[in-house]
Amino acid sequence: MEQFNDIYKQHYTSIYRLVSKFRVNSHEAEDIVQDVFVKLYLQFNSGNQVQYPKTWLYKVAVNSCINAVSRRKETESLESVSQLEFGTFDSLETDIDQNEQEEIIRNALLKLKEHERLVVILYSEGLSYKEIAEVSGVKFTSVSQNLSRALDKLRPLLKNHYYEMLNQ
Amino acid sequence: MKCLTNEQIQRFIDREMPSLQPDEFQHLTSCPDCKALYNEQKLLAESIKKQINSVAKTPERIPEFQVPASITYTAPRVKRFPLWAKVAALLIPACFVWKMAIKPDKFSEKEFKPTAESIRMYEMCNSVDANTAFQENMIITTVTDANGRVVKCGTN
Repeated sequence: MEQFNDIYKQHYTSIYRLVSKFRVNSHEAEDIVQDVFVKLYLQFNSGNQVQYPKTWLYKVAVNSCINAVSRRKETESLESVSQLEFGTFDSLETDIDQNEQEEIIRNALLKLKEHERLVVILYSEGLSYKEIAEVSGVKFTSVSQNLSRALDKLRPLLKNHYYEMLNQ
Repeated sequence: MKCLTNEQIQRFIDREMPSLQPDEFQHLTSCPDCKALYNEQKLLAESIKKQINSVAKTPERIPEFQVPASITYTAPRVKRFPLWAKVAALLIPACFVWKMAIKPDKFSEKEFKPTAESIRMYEMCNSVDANTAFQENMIITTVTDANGRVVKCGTN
Protein backbone atom coordinates (compact mmCIF):
# COMPACT_ATOMS: atom_id res chain seq x y z
CA MET A 1 0.00 0.00 0.00
CA GLU A 2 3.04 2.25 -0.11
CA GLN A 3 2.29 2.99 -3.73
CA PHE A 4 -1.25 4.04 -2.81
CA ASN A 5 0.00 6.38 -0.09
CA ASP A 6 2.39 8.04 -2.53
CA ILE A 7 -0.39 8.56 -5.07
CA TYR A 8 -2.68 9.88 -2.34
CA LYS A 9 -0.16 12.47 -1.19
CA GLN A 10 0.81 13.40 -4.73
CA HIS A 11 -2.68 13.86 -6.17
CA TYR A 12 -4.92 14.81 -3.25
CA THR A 13 -4.56 18.56 -3.77
CA SER A 14 -5.02 18.48 -7.54
CA ILE A 15 -8.12 16.27 -7.27
CA TYR A 16 -9.53 18.54 -4.57
CA ARG A 17 -8.92 21.58 -6.76
CA LEU A 18 -10.58 19.89 -9.73
CA VAL A 19 -13.63 18.89 -7.69
CA SER A 20 -13.96 22.39 -6.25
CA LYS A 21 -14.32 23.77 -9.78
CA PHE A 22 -17.62 21.94 -10.09
CA ARG A 23 -20.76 23.17 -8.40
CA VAL A 24 -20.16 21.47 -5.09
CA ASN A 25 -19.70 22.85 -1.58
CA SER A 26 -16.67 22.23 0.59
CA HIS A 27 -18.20 19.27 2.47
CA GLU A 28 -19.33 17.64 -0.74
CA ALA A 29 -15.89 18.20 -2.25
CA GLU A 30 -14.19 16.49 0.68
CA ASP A 31 -16.60 13.57 0.47
CA ILE A 32 -16.12 13.21 -3.28
CA VAL A 33 -12.32 13.29 -2.99
CA GLN A 34 -12.45 10.73 -0.18
CA ASP A 35 -14.75 8.51 -2.30
CA VAL A 36 -12.39 8.76 -5.27
CA PHE A 37 -9.42 7.62 -3.21
CA VAL A 38 -11.46 4.86 -1.54
CA LYS A 39 -12.25 3.56 -5.03
CA LEU A 40 -8.56 3.66 -5.89
CA TYR A 41 -7.75 1.88 -2.62
CA LEU A 42 -10.25 -0.85 -3.52
CA GLN A 43 -8.60 -1.24 -6.91
CA PHE A 44 -5.23 -1.75 -5.25
CA ASN A 45 -6.79 -4.00 -2.62
CA SER A 46 -8.34 -6.32 -5.17
CA GLY A 47 -5.03 -6.65 -6.97
CA ASN A 48 -6.08 -4.68 -10.07
CA GLN A 49 -3.40 -2.61 -11.73
CA VAL A 50 -4.10 1.06 -12.39
CA GLN A 51 -1.76 1.93 -15.22
CA TYR A 52 -2.19 5.71 -15.21
CA PRO A 53 -3.34 6.73 -11.72
CA LYS A 54 -3.53 10.44 -12.57
CA THR A 55 -5.94 9.98 -15.49
CA TRP A 56 -7.85 7.33 -13.55
CA LEU A 57 -8.32 9.67 -10.59
CA TYR A 58 -9.39 12.57 -12.78
CA LYS A 59 -11.88 10.38 -14.61
CA VAL A 60 -13.45 9.02 -11.43
CA ALA A 61 -13.50 12.48 -9.83
CA VAL A 62 -15.19 14.05 -12.87
CA ASN A 63 -17.84 11.30 -12.98
CA SER A 64 -18.47 11.63 -9.24
CA CYS A 65 -18.91 15.40 -9.57
CA ILE A 66 -21.33 15.05 -12.49
CA ASN A 67 -23.31 12.46 -10.52
CA ALA A 68 -23.35 14.61 -7.39
CA VAL A 69 -24.57 17.66 -9.28
CA SER A 70 -27.27 15.77 -11.19
CA ARG A 71 -28.42 14.00 -8.00
CA ARG A 72 -28.79 17.33 -6.28
CA LYS A 73 -30.67 18.76 -9.24
CA GLU A 74 -33.15 15.93 -9.01
CA THR A 75 -33.84 16.38 -5.33
CA GLU A 76 -33.88 20.12 -4.93
CA SER A 77 -35.84 22.94 -6.47
CA LEU A 78 -34.19 25.24 -9.01
CA GLU A 79 -34.04 28.08 -6.54
CA SER A 80 -32.17 26.17 -3.89
CA VAL A 81 -29.89 24.71 -6.54
CA SER A 82 -28.83 28.15 -7.67
CA GLN A 83 -28.11 29.08 -4.06
CA LEU A 84 -26.01 25.98 -3.62
CA GLU A 85 -24.33 26.34 -6.95
CA PHE A 86 -22.98 29.76 -6.38
CA GLY A 87 -22.93 30.04 -2.62
CA THR A 88 -20.51 27.21 -2.44
CA PHE A 89 -17.29 27.83 -0.64
CA ASP A 90 -18.57 30.99 0.91
CA SER A 91 -18.00 31.94 4.47
CA LEU A 92 -18.53 35.21 6.22
CA GLU A 93 -14.85 35.96 6.07
CA THR A 94 -14.47 35.70 2.31
CA ASP A 95 -14.33 38.80 0.26
CA ILE A 96 -17.57 39.87 -1.42
CA ASP A 97 -15.75 40.86 -4.61
CA GLN A 98 -14.15 37.49 -4.75
CA ASN A 99 -17.56 35.86 -4.45
CA GLU A 100 -18.96 38.05 -7.21
CA GLN A 101 -16.07 37.18 -9.47
CA GLU A 102 -16.57 33.50 -8.73
CA GLU A 103 -20.24 33.84 -9.49
CA ILE A 104 -19.50 35.41 -12.87
CA ILE A 105 -17.08 32.63 -13.77
CA ARG A 106 -19.40 29.85 -12.61
CA ASN A 107 -22.30 31.46 -14.51
CA ALA A 108 -20.17 31.72 -17.63
CA LEU A 109 -19.22 28.04 -17.35
CA LEU A 110 -22.87 27.13 -16.97
CA LYS A 111 -23.58 28.68 -20.35
CA LEU A 112 -21.37 26.07 -22.03
CA LYS A 113 -22.44 22.66 -23.15
CA GLU A 114 -21.61 19.85 -20.72
CA HIS A 115 -18.69 18.44 -22.73
CA GLU A 116 -17.30 21.89 -23.54
CA ARG A 117 -17.38 22.81 -19.85
CA LEU A 118 -15.59 19.59 -19.01
CA VAL A 119 -12.92 20.18 -21.65
CA VAL A 120 -12.31 23.75 -20.45
CA ILE A 121 -12.10 22.72 -16.78
CA LEU A 122 -9.64 19.95 -17.59
CA TYR A 123 -7.68 22.31 -19.82
CA SER A 124 -7.39 24.76 -16.94
CA GLU A 125 -5.87 21.90 -14.93
CA GLY A 126 -3.02 21.78 -17.44
CA LEU A 127 -3.91 18.39 -18.90
CA SER A 128 -2.74 17.48 -22.39
CA TYR A 129 -5.28 16.94 -25.17
CA LYS A 130 -4.75 13.20 -24.89
CA GLU A 131 -5.47 13.23 -21.17
CA ILE A 132 -8.49 15.50 -21.68
CA ALA A 133 -9.85 13.08 -24.28
CA GLU A 134 -9.33 10.12 -21.98
CA VAL A 135 -10.94 11.75 -18.94
CA SER A 136 -13.86 13.49 -20.66
CA GLY A 137 -14.67 10.83 -23.23
CA VAL A 138 -14.45 13.40 -26.03
CA LYS A 139 -12.62 12.19 -29.14
CA PHE A 140 -8.94 13.17 -29.21
CA THR A 141 -9.41 14.88 -32.58
CA SER A 142 -12.37 16.89 -31.26
CA VAL A 143 -10.64 18.28 -28.16
CA SER A 144 -9.15 21.32 -29.91
CA GLN A 145 -12.45 22.02 -31.66
CA ASN A 146 -14.43 21.87 -28.40
CA LEU A 147 -11.81 23.91 -26.62
CA SER A 148 -11.66 26.74 -29.18
CA ARG A 149 -15.48 26.82 -29.30
CA ALA A 150 -15.70 27.00 -25.52
CA LEU A 151 -13.07 29.74 -25.33
CA ASP A 152 -14.96 31.71 -27.99
CA LYS A 153 -18.17 31.40 -25.99
CA LEU A 154 -16.40 32.43 -22.78
CA ARG A 155 -14.71 35.44 -24.38
CA PRO A 156 -17.70 37.86 -24.12
CA LEU A 157 -18.77 36.46 -20.76
CA LEU A 158 -15.41 36.96 -19.12
CA LYS A 159 -14.34 39.99 -21.13
CA ASN A 160 -13.71 42.33 -18.20
CA HIS A 161 -10.99 40.19 -16.77
CA TYR A 162 -9.64 39.54 -20.22
CA TYR A 163 -9.34 43.24 -21.05
CA GLU A 164 -7.66 43.82 -17.71
CA MET A 165 -5.05 41.32 -18.80
CA LEU A 166 -4.75 42.90 -22.23
CA ASN A 167 -3.99 46.28 -20.67
CA GLN A 168 -1.33 44.86 -18.38
CA MET B 1 -2.69 29.51 -48.35
CA LYS B 2 -5.94 30.14 -46.49
CA CYS B 3 -5.80 31.71 -43.03
CA LEU B 4 -5.73 29.32 -40.09
CA THR B 5 -8.88 28.46 -38.16
CA ASN B 6 -9.28 29.12 -34.44
CA GLU B 7 -8.93 25.40 -33.85
CA GLN B 8 -5.62 25.20 -35.70
CA ILE B 9 -4.32 28.25 -33.87
CA GLN B 10 -5.39 26.74 -30.53
CA ARG B 11 -3.41 23.61 -31.33
CA PHE B 12 -0.37 25.75 -32.08
CA ILE B 13 -0.80 27.59 -28.78
CA ASP B 14 -0.95 24.34 -26.85
CA ARG B 15 1.79 22.70 -28.94
CA GLU B 16 -0.59 19.88 -29.76
CA MET B 17 0.06 19.55 -33.48
CA PRO B 18 -0.33 15.90 -34.49
CA SER B 19 2.64 16.26 -36.84
CA LEU B 20 4.93 18.98 -38.08
CA GLN B 21 2.93 21.33 -40.31
CA PRO B 22 5.56 23.46 -42.09
CA ASP B 23 3.03 25.20 -44.37
CA GLU B 24 0.79 26.22 -41.50
CA PHE B 25 3.74 27.33 -39.43
CA GLN B 26 5.12 29.36 -42.33
CA HIS B 27 1.73 30.99 -42.80
CA LEU B 28 1.36 31.76 -39.11
CA THR B 29 4.70 33.56 -39.01
CA SER B 30 4.10 35.51 -42.21
CA CYS B 31 0.35 36.38 -42.07
CA PRO B 32 -0.26 39.45 -39.85
CA ASP B 33 -3.94 38.55 -39.31
CA CYS B 34 -3.17 35.04 -38.13
CA LYS B 35 -0.31 36.31 -36.02
CA ALA B 36 -2.62 38.81 -34.33
CA LEU B 37 -5.28 36.14 -33.82
CA TYR B 38 -2.65 33.81 -32.35
CA ASN B 39 -1.53 36.43 -29.82
CA GLU B 40 -5.11 37.32 -28.94
CA GLN B 41 -6.22 33.73 -28.54
CA LYS B 42 -3.18 32.87 -26.47
CA LEU B 43 -3.98 35.69 -24.10
CA LEU B 44 -7.63 34.65 -23.98
CA ALA B 45 -6.74 31.05 -23.17
CA GLU B 46 -4.37 32.16 -20.42
CA SER B 47 -6.93 34.55 -18.99
CA ILE B 48 -9.70 31.95 -18.93
CA LYS B 49 -7.38 29.36 -17.41
CA LYS B 50 -6.47 31.85 -14.70
CA GLN B 51 -10.07 32.77 -14.02
CA ILE B 52 -11.25 29.18 -13.78
CA ASN B 53 -8.35 28.37 -11.48
CA SER B 54 -9.32 31.30 -9.26
CA VAL B 55 -12.58 29.44 -8.50
CA ALA B 56 -10.69 26.35 -7.34
CA LYS B 57 -10.01 25.86 -3.66
CA THR B 58 -6.94 24.34 -2.12
CA PRO B 59 -7.36 22.09 0.92
CA GLU B 60 -5.96 23.48 4.14
CA ARG B 61 -4.14 20.23 4.73
CA ILE B 62 -4.05 16.75 3.29
CA PRO B 63 -6.02 14.58 5.71
CA GLU B 64 -4.75 11.16 6.68
CA PHE B 65 -6.38 8.52 4.53
CA GLN B 66 -8.82 6.54 6.62
CA VAL B 67 -9.58 3.06 5.36
CA PRO B 68 -13.34 2.60 5.81
CA ALA B 69 -14.17 -0.06 8.40
CA SER B 70 -16.35 -1.98 5.98
CA ILE B 71 -13.39 -2.68 3.73
CA THR B 72 -11.63 -5.94 4.49
CA TYR B 73 -8.89 -7.62 2.59
CA THR B 74 -10.13 -9.69 -0.27
CA ALA B 75 -7.68 -12.04 -1.86
CA PRO B 76 -7.42 -11.81 -5.62
CA ARG B 77 -9.83 -14.23 -7.27
CA VAL B 78 -8.22 -17.34 -8.64
CA LYS B 79 -9.96 -18.87 -11.62
CA ARG B 80 -11.06 -22.42 -10.75
CA PHE B 81 -12.18 -25.03 -13.26
CA PRO B 82 -15.15 -27.31 -12.39
CA LEU B 83 -14.56 -31.01 -11.79
CA TRP B 84 -16.33 -32.11 -14.99
CA ALA B 85 -14.00 -29.91 -17.05
CA LYS B 86 -10.94 -31.47 -15.40
CA VAL B 87 -12.28 -35.02 -15.99
CA ALA B 88 -13.13 -34.19 -19.59
CA ALA B 89 -9.68 -32.72 -20.14
CA LEU B 90 -8.16 -36.07 -19.08
CA LEU B 91 -10.65 -38.42 -20.71
CA ILE B 92 -10.85 -36.93 -24.20
CA PRO B 93 -7.12 -37.22 -25.04
CA ALA B 94 -6.99 -40.65 -23.35
CA CYS B 95 -9.84 -41.97 -25.53
CA PHE B 96 -8.22 -40.56 -28.62
CA VAL B 97 -4.88 -42.24 -27.85
CA TRP B 98 -6.63 -45.55 -27.08
CA LYS B 99 -8.52 -45.47 -30.37
CA MET B 100 -5.54 -44.49 -32.46
CA ALA B 101 -2.75 -46.53 -30.87
CA ILE B 102 -4.32 -49.53 -29.17
CA LYS B 103 -7.29 -50.31 -31.47
CA PRO B 104 -6.31 -48.99 -34.85
CA ASP B 105 -8.38 -51.63 -36.73
CA LYS B 106 -11.56 -49.77 -35.89
CA PHE B 107 -10.45 -46.94 -38.05
CA SER B 108 -8.85 -49.02 -40.84
CA GLU B 109 -10.77 -49.97 -43.98
CA LYS B 110 -12.58 -53.33 -44.20
CA GLU B 111 -10.48 -56.01 -45.75
CA PHE B 112 -11.46 -56.74 -49.34
CA LYS B 113 -12.06 -60.45 -49.83
CA PRO B 114 -13.67 -61.08 -53.22
CA THR B 115 -15.19 -64.49 -53.96
CA ALA B 116 -13.95 -66.58 -56.90
CA GLU B 117 -17.27 -65.99 -58.59
CA SER B 118 -17.03 -62.21 -58.35
CA ILE B 119 -13.47 -62.28 -59.72
CA ARG B 120 -14.68 -64.31 -62.70
CA MET B 121 -17.52 -61.88 -63.24
CA TYR B 122 -15.11 -58.96 -63.09
CA GLU B 123 -12.86 -60.54 -65.69
CA MET B 124 -15.79 -61.21 -67.97
CA CYS B 125 -17.02 -57.67 -67.74
CA ASN B 126 -13.57 -56.30 -68.42
CA SER B 127 -13.30 -58.35 -71.60
CA VAL B 128 -15.89 -56.07 -73.22
CA ASP B 129 -14.26 -53.98 -75.93
CA ALA B 130 -15.59 -50.47 -75.82
CA ASN B 131 -14.56 -49.75 -79.41
CA THR B 132 -16.75 -52.42 -80.93
CA ALA B 133 -20.47 -52.20 -81.55
CA PHE B 134 -22.84 -52.85 -78.67
CA GLN B 135 -24.39 -55.82 -80.45
CA GLU B 136 -20.98 -57.46 -80.91
CA ASN B 137 -20.23 -57.52 -77.19
CA MET B 138 -21.62 -59.87 -74.67
CA ILE B 139 -23.00 -58.05 -71.67
CA ILE B 140 -23.56 -60.10 -68.59
CA THR B 141 -26.08 -58.85 -66.06
CA THR B 142 -25.92 -60.32 -62.57
CA VAL B 143 -28.09 -60.00 -59.51
CA THR B 144 -26.35 -60.48 -56.17
CA ASP B 145 -27.77 -60.96 -52.70
CA ALA B 146 -26.81 -59.00 -49.60
CA ASN B 147 -23.71 -61.13 -49.12
CA GLY B 148 -22.47 -60.55 -52.63
CA ARG B 149 -23.43 -63.97 -53.96
CA VAL B 150 -24.73 -64.11 -57.50
CA VAL B 151 -28.32 -65.25 -57.42
CA LYS B 152 -29.26 -64.53 -61.02
CA CYS B 153 -27.22 -64.16 -64.19
CA GLY B 154 -28.22 -63.17 -67.72
CA THR B 155 -26.64 -62.15 -71.03
CA ASN B 156 -27.82 -60.01 -73.95
